[in-house]
Amino acid sequence: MNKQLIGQDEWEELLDKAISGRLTDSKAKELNTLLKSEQSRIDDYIRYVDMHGSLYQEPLLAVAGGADTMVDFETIKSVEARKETVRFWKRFAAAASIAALVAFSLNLWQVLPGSNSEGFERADYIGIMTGLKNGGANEKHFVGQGLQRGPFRLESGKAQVRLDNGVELSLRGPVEFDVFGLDHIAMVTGRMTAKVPPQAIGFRIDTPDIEVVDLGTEFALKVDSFGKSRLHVLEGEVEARLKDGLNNENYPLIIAKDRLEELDRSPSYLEKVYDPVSFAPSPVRDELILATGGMVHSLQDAPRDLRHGRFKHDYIMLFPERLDYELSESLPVNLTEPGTYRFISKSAIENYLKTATDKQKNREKLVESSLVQGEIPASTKVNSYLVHFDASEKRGKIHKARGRIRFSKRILGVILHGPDLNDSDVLVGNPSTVYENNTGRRTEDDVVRISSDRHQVFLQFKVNGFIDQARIIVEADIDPSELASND
Amino acid sequence: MPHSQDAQDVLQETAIALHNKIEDYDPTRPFAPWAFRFAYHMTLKHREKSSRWHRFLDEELMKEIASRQSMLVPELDQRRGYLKECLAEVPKNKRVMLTDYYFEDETVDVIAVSQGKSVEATYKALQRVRKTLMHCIEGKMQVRGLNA
Repeated sequence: MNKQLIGQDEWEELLDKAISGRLTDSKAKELNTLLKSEQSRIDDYIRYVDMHGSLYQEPLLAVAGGADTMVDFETIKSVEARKETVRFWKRFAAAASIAALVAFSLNLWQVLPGSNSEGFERADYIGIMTGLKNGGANEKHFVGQGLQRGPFRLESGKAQVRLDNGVELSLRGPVEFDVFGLDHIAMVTGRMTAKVPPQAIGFRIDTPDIEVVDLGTEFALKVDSFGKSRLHVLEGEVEARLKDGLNNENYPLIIAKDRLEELDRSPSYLEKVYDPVSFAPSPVRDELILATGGMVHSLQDAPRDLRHGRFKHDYIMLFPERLDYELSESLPVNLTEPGTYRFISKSAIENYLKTATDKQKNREKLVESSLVQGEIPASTKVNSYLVHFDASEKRGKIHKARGRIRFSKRILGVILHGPDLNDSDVLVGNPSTVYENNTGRRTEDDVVRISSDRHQVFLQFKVNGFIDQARIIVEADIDPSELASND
Repeated sequence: MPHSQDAQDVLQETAIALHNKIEDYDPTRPFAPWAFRFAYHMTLKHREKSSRWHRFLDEELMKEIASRQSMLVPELDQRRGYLKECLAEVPKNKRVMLTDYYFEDETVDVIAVSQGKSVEATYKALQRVRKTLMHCIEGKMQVRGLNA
């Protein structure tokens, strides 16, 4: 490569023009020549594009109002914890941005399944309980609970936990384990199935007698009361070894789902035939939610109690209420059309007009809280999701949060107005959830954007002593015209 | 890519291709290289449509960048960690601008209007913040490298 001379400032300006799409033809040629002249130029370019791509995914930029507005899970005591990096999606973003050369990582989160790459910023827990079913009467756990390092025990029922690195754990009680970190769990007894995404390869589970290291897979473990373990590989492969085995079983062995027959000798802890009843079930994933971004975290199950002050958390929580449900009567919704709306009470309009910037006024359509844009007809099959943000603990302060959700199906409508939320609880709410139905459910200057393809909703919530909620109604039937357009 | 809309187009095309071909994905193999190949081929395909692209980046150079990028992965991971730290040091008004641009997906034109600046001045302001961040990351890389 021939070294081409250029001043540092000029070089940086060239890089910036490249990533912001402002290269003229002559500058594009110059950049091409420079990149070919020296490997360090290529490295500089990659670093610059990678930073640019990372900024699109940076959760710090999704926090409205800065870090000081964050609140902690009510029931979780803070501890010092090391934050882990969710590497895979960021690598993807970087590689994609390199491949597409500029800003290719733009909105990657929209299209990649399960890209909850934000993790829990500034919080001290490393995972969240996303689902809980058939827990006993004295069950201390709850949906939305933060998971910390340390011992964990589920007495009964089934639960699902998502670690910040994307590992999904399905548990069948009674189960007991110790969380050492995002990449290491020690199981004492019980049943657990782990689905490990590519970015978390290397995730390890110890039991009293074996050690299993994930190599990109889904695997099930059960440990009986004597500490004896059984392993079944559902997908992909793991590396496993007996801690104190005989016959060389204490040497690490690669066990691949599709190559079990190739094993010279089946290890004593391996269960080749899968009995779903004796293990914990496979972790489930909501296929309707393609991705979440910003401060939204999705749960598999709806919380039990959503009354004011009963379900406080750092994040905007998203959960299903009714799925594949046929409306028995028509459902009025506040928003149906794509656009950016500032949902505001009548009394606050005057103040908004005084204080809003021109940018806000140009961008947002100002609508009264009681607006009803349309009605979803009776007999329509729908999926109902609720987003919930309750940061009322620090009364007197305003708390803000923003986030985005992309659904695989079209959004039919959004309900935000308190009385309309109350009215729709019976029809599309989760029957076993207790909802707030007093004045605690209130719209306060919130912004909602429905994308032009109607698959995505952006939310900007601001709470001050009350809870913010939005009920999102998504179509359940596949639209034949959409299938045609994807061909 | 000469224009961010091109990047969006490639992104969408890749997403559709990945979605349509997900059945072909062998889950016993790492997902990333498989997905990268799609991204890479979609980029090549898109590049063929644009003459400006050819001036900017020929196929040989694209291959070189892709190859080099895979070697820099550990360093890039480290840099992303420092980016968080550096971002925390950015003054509030600059961070608002970054939020508007990167999170809100606002165009520079809109940001310029909201800040009462010209479009060119806004581009420059964004460039300056990115430059500051880049230098901050470099500084941390050097300091931590020396102390390691």
